[in-house]
Amino acid sequence: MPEGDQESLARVANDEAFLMLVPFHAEPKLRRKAWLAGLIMLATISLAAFNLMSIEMAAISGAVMVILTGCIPINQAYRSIDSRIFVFIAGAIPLGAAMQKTGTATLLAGWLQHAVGSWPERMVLLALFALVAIITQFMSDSATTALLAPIAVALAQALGRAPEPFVVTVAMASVVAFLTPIGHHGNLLVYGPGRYRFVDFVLVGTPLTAICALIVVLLAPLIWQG
Amino acid sequence: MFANVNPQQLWFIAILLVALLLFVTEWIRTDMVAVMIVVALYLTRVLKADEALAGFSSEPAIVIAGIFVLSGALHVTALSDKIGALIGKLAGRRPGIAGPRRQR
Repeated sequence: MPEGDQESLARVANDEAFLMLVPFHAEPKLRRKAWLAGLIMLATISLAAFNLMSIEMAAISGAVMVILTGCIPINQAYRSIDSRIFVFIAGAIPLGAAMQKTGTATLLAGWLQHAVGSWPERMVLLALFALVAIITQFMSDSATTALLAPIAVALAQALGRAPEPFVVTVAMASVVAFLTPIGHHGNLLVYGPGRYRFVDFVLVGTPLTAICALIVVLLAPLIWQG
Repeated sequence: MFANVNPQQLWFIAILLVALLLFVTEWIRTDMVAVMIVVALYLTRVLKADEALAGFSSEPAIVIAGIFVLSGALHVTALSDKIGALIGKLAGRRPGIAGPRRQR
């Protein structure tokens, strides 16, 4: 933590050569509001966690509250929003809508069913996992499960297998959102400030996803035997 | 197998593949690619204008904006410094558990 008088600290903070991960030049006036900001943050998380409010309304209400209570000046609030990340997610979202509207997810599932007919069950599950993990990058977790679970059941029936391992594979694969920064809010939040590249998430996410896929594919048929 | 693919699906798959290629290679900035997706989906008539623009009012976009403001408040009130310092103190001299790490 650097030390010195306010003026020289501000000079360092504003110098392009120094990347400030944590700003250390908070004014004393705002420091006194720290407990309030923390309280609003906790309230926001609780409202969303206990389903008292939808998560987006909780987030925007929390933002309004920190500004109204003077925890952050409104200009600084605007500056806090990484517009690059906002535009990035807002632009990538319609891919999911388009995938659903054009019926491409169903089409891909149909191809899968066609291709895997003679494969052993675990290979089929692995292929199913891979397909769902890719689709869930562009569609929400719940929309992916809702769309592909019936397809998984049909696939199981066509192959004469118990449906449970297939549906569990879909449910698990659709929450595996590690592959890209657009897969999950959490990834997005660190994408900008962390100065990561798109491929960084792919490089870490792919092995992680592969491990999850192996566990699900190995265990599911053992737990639900057809 | 490919006979039942309609033009809309072909357009969508083409846009998806090009978008993925550009996202991964970053020949064009990712936020720019994202806006190009919106325009491309509209121009190819895969989506109507309101559908193509729905991302801007979508749950993830609003959550991200709201959380950025909230974490901005934690920064300017120096609460995040305090929490960071607390974690650093708890971890003591074992940076493997927590504590500040050097910038690359």
